[in-house]
Amino acid sequence: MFRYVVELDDFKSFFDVLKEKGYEVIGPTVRDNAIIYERLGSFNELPIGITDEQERSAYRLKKRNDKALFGYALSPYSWKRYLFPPSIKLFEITKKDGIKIIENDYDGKKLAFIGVRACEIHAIYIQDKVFLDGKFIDPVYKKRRDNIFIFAVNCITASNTCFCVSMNTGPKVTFGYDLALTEVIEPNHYFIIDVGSKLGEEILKNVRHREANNDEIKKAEEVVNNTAKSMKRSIDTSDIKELLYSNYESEYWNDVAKRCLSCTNCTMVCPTCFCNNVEDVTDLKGESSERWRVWDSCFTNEFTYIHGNTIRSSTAAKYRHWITHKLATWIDQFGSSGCVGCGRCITWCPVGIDITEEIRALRSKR
Amino acid sequence: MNNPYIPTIFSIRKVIREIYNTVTIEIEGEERFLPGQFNMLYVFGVGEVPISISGDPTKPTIIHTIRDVGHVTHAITNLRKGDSIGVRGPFGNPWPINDYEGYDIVVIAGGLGLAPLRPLIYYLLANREKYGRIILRYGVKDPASFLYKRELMRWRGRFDLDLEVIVSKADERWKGKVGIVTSLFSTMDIDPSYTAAFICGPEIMMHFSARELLNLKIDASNIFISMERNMKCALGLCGHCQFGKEFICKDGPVFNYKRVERLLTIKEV
Amino acid sequence: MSIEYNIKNHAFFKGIDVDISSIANYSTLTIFKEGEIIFREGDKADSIYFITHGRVALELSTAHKGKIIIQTIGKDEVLGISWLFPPYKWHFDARAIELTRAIKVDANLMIKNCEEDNRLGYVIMKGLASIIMKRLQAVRIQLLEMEEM
Repeated sequence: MFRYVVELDDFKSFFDVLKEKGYEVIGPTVRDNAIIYERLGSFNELPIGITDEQERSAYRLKKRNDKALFGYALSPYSWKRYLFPPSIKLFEITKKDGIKIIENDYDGKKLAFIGVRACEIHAIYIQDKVFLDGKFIDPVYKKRRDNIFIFAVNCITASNTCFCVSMNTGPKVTFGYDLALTEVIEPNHYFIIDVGSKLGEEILKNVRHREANNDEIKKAEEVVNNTAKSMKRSIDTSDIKELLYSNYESEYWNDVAKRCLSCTNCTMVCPTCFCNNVEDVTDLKGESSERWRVWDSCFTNEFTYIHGNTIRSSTAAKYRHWITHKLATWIDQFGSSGCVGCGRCITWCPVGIDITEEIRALRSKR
Repeated sequence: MNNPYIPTIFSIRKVIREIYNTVTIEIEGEERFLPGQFNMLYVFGVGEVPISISGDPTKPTIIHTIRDVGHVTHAITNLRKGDSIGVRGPFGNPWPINDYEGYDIVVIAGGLGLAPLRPLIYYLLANREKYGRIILRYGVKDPASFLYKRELMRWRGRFDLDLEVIVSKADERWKGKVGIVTSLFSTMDIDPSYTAAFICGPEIMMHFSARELLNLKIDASNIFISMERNMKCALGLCGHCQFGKEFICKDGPVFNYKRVERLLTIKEV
Repeated sequence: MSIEYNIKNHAFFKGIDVDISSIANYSTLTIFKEGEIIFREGDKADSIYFITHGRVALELSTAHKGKIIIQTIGKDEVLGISWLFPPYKWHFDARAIELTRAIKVDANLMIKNCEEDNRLGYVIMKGLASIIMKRLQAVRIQLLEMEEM
């Protein structure tokens, strides 16, 4: 693999090059005391010198001692927001001059994602399986997925809720990118760039770079290795399918249910959760109606509602469904785990339910 | 690319009131389907619901029987001849009837469960020579709840179809049997090692029926049931209809009993 | 000969390897026309009927819905077990809904016979217990089904 060095000042021109190629750049930026993925006008909007502290039910931003661009662990946002939008009009139907359906073109703009982490690439590939690899292809996802440029980032820091090492999904980016960078801050601030596709190569051509020397490459690898070593949480995934399949009737779910609020936060922040619902919105005259697709969560009562009954009405059954799907049935359905170890569900659970702890506890009850 | 979310709009050719809260609608337009499959029916501005197809698979018709149990089905049961309805489909796995040529076929229906089985019966009668005995057992709540009454009468007049019905409760005018559908199993003249069973009805009824068929020495791998869950997309993309590792919409709705037997006994899966 | 033959061929007694010929001594063959009442709720329960043909409805009279059929009993099934336990009264009405033939057995004499011949008694009680169990299961399922169908 060829590796290149791009200096900090030259890195800025990626923004211009991507824009020239017709891409809208989406990347991390600070908004309302959080790092989110938003449309970026320029390099300056990156979270320069900012990091995040994450723990169970805790997220806070802090200043770093340096000017790192990607010196935070993970945004509460995930890229699914752009590939699988929280709400989108599926079609419109009108009765005005005879009944007619107006299709939506689903807005397949060219988007460049800057700052995609290894776990997030895994998440995108997991959603690819759901939306693109089945009998039916989701036209919304496909249109967007076909037009993205992935600029990945190797993590230089892990948060306390990260557990990608145990899920085999990070912190090193290994596939699925057009370009990937490792940020080196000391003693000089530069980026080691890996090229992952023809498209990536083409973009890099327009940015000043040079070949990296062995020391620089070693330094970059060291950074990622240190991140891996610093990771505190983990899930033991051995026989995890059997563990969950044999525990459908465990009393343990009642224990989780005492804590879980069914608030749906975990499903909203999860980068692989794909459940969605449809809503029909009709104008006041009743002449036209729109059908929208919106994110949904298996923690709601409506989710399993069927003529007069909610099938999973207890919180115990809802949590059991969620974790069993994420870590077990997903493997049977799509050939891989549905969890990438990003830890968002741990950080954003208001009552501190921790998927890694729940699995540990379930194992100990066996 | 073909957009699987877009329904095709048809107008309704005919509405038949089956029983007080249930209608059968015949939709203009043609569709090739297999017995056991379903369509998504869309009502303008109201929403969309999965409904099993209950027409004759040997003819390209679109026929559905719908019970008024929610706001979309309520809207459908109020549609009239000439009204518009959106259709997406057909979806789902059919009753695997081709795998059982030469077998005795047992069809067990409970209540509205006869609707997704009717195409199967049409198919069996159209291909009568390929199968052994054909046995239909149908249980409903009360004598006023039989679907397809005239057809049932016609089928009962056939010598090559063994049909018995039963109701859960009746008033004194009822001359037939009262009890549960499984109490009709003792009169089935079958060769258990060459018998396939197809069951549709409330989950609890399917569960007890399957268990009774196992007692009659029919192999679990030859018993099939049709499941129902909240289905929003029918494409395997919305996640709603999951039942353990199964997506009812794309792995079902017809399942081998062996495959789902365990999950059926667990609460709130 | 005829009664004994009928008893031996009823599903209840099939496969039983004890001598059941004594039952014939206190049994009669009876025929009920369509609509005929076999017994009424509250009357003294002193017989058991082994149905050989036709169908009988067990009915309950209700104030607002009139008569409700609870269950039907047909060929090879058994009608009437209230004589087994106090208060030895029928719990339902039994009405033939079509021409019905049955072996009517004097319950008191059968109990006496069972007490003297414990082997026979065991077999009969086991058969009756199995009927009671099946009916209980059926009622449970019926209750669940009625909510859903």
